[in-house]
Amino acid sequence: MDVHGLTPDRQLNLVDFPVGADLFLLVKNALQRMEQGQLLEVIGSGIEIKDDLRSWCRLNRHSLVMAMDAGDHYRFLIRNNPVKALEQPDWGIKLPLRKDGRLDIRDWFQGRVGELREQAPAYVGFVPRGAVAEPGVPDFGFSLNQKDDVWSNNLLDLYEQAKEKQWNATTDIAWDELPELPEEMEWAVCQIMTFLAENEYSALYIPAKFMARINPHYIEALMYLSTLIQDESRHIEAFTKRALAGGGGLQYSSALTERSLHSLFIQEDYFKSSFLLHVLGEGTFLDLLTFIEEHAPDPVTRQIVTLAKIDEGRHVAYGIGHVRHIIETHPGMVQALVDAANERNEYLGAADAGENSHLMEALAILAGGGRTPEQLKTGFERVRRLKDVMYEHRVQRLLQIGLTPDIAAAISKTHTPNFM
Amino acid sequence: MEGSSPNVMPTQRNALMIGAVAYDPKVIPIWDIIRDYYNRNGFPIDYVLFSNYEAQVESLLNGFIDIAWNTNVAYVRIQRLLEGKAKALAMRDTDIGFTSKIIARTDKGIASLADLKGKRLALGSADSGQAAILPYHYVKASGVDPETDLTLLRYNLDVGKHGDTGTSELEVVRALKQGEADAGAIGESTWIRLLEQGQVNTDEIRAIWTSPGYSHCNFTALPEFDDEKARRFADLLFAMDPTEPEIRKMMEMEGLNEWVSPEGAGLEGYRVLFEAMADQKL
Ligand SMILES: [Fe+2]
Ligand SMILES: [Fe+2]
Repeated sequence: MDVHGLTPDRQLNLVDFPVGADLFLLVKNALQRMEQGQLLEVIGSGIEIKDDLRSWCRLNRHSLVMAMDAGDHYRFLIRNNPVKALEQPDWGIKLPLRKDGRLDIRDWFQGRVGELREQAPAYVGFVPRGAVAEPGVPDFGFSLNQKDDVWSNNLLDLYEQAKEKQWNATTDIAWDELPELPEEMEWAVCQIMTFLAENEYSALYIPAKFMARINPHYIEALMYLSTLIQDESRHIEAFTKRALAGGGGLQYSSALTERSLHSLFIQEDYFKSSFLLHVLGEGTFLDLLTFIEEHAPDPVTRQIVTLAKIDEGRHVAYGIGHVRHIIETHPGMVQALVDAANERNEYLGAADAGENSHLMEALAILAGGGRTPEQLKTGFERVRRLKDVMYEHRVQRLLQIGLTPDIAAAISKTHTPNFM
Repeated sequence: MEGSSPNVMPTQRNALMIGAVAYDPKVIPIWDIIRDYYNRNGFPIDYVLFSNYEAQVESLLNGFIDIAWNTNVAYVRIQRLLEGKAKALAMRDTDIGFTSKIIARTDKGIASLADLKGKRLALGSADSGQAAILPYHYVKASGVDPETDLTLLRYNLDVGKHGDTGTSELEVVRALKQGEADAGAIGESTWIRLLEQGQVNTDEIRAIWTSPGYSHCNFTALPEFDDEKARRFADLLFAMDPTEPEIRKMMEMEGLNEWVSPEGAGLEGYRVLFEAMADQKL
């Protein structure tokens, strides 16, 4: 309605609302949803709210332009005059559905939610991307604030896959089919499971330590990484259960393994960490899992390793995608990867780290089929071939992320004897 | 000590020294933010906190501080001593058009100032412009003599802080709630905050009268304060970005939306307080 040439842009019916918390809250919110200079018409029961409304307006830099007697109610016109009007949120954008009614995360990049920036906005806090923030969000101190820092082109595909491929180490493993193995073979499996679990601890902790540093503007990266660390916790669970299930138990941990994992854990640069852990470490780990799968003496061990391998494939794919993207856009970053590998080798070379002797023996027993000299010789031979395969595959992955053959060979050659 | 002079100030006097009264612990973060902002902008300032406005006024007059963040009562006292020549540099937007309210219990039949006759009227601290001096003045101007036509109850708390703490206004509201008083005086910012926080039930206590607008605080400097410095000091206040988190925090704590110039309405709004304080011999 038009009163004295003033046309309200919005109306707020507050008949029977006394002056107080609710009334001011509703008026404040209504004004926040309006543009600078627009007029809000508040309908109230009585004139007695006028003075308080005027005071509230003045304290909040709005102005009560007019109060009118409209018979059984009053009309108050308020001009919206914030120092800076808020942006306005989206309304009316409907996400498309895929086949079978699926709502895929890859389809939610619409409107404001879809405004994924190369550099995250400052002071974003936990305001969901797409929502409108009141000014005054404190600096949360996130340090990974660029898309390149965390993103990978396959991130969203991997996230959707990860959710589909979750499995349950309590119910999805045929624990009741675990046979009684010869004692030396059971010991070998238990020793290997100890080593696998130990490495999985690092694979859980390292991404987890970076997660709280990632700017929430890139929430999809956190969502993906949370599936990754859930995978790792499931691996810890499954490998530990396998060691315990057959009456053996967890066996030996070596100083070499702990030093190697520590050198990963202390890396504070996410790009370097992602390279060392996902590309080199988990890449090599994949080959180890394939080897164990191939020589597994029982169906339970095989099933666990097969399932873990599928998960690890996603982790390696994320690392390769992430690192490759950075190398493509910033070729100078290759040096950071060489440095990362060298720093790690220096750390590991500083002390005589010994070797994974129990693990090596266990792998030989597993691959040779037992502990007779003949079997052990065969087993060690197969472990040596495994190392060659690991070397070759590392080189391939390094070429995949865009390194030259020389650099790929150099990095692959010096990779930790711990595999991960 | 050889070579030392008793006249040399121990402070770094290339920084402008601002005085403020410590009426609440939040005064420290407020002034840290303001000081950091000025230092970031290449205009170094520092601040001194006083426990009362009288000490701050004296420190401005004797040159210990360059600028004082004053209440209207402190400002009027300075102007009376300096024949109106002190400079008001800047104010909060909310300092202009500030009002006081007379609130009353709804069961006492008080709907106007005239109805205060024969009733018990609660005032806040005697040195509070909004809770005592100006309400007294306006009630008197309406034809109701606060000394003879009603029973005056004074709640003097935090004297020296000119009503900044708001504790005396809360006492006034408490007195009304508990039936000690029939009506009371309160500044509008405290009243609106109580309403917003749901601490007052308007079925029981209601504002029955709102004063004309007057001016509240300002940054005051002596007449001889350098004009160029004054201009830069004020311009930096006006340039503060309320969307910047620290600035926003400070502005919320200090109760403003933006800093404004006192020219015009701001200075005009002190006139009534000059009259009131002269009349009340304050
Ligand atoms: Fe894993
Ligand atoms: Fe992994």
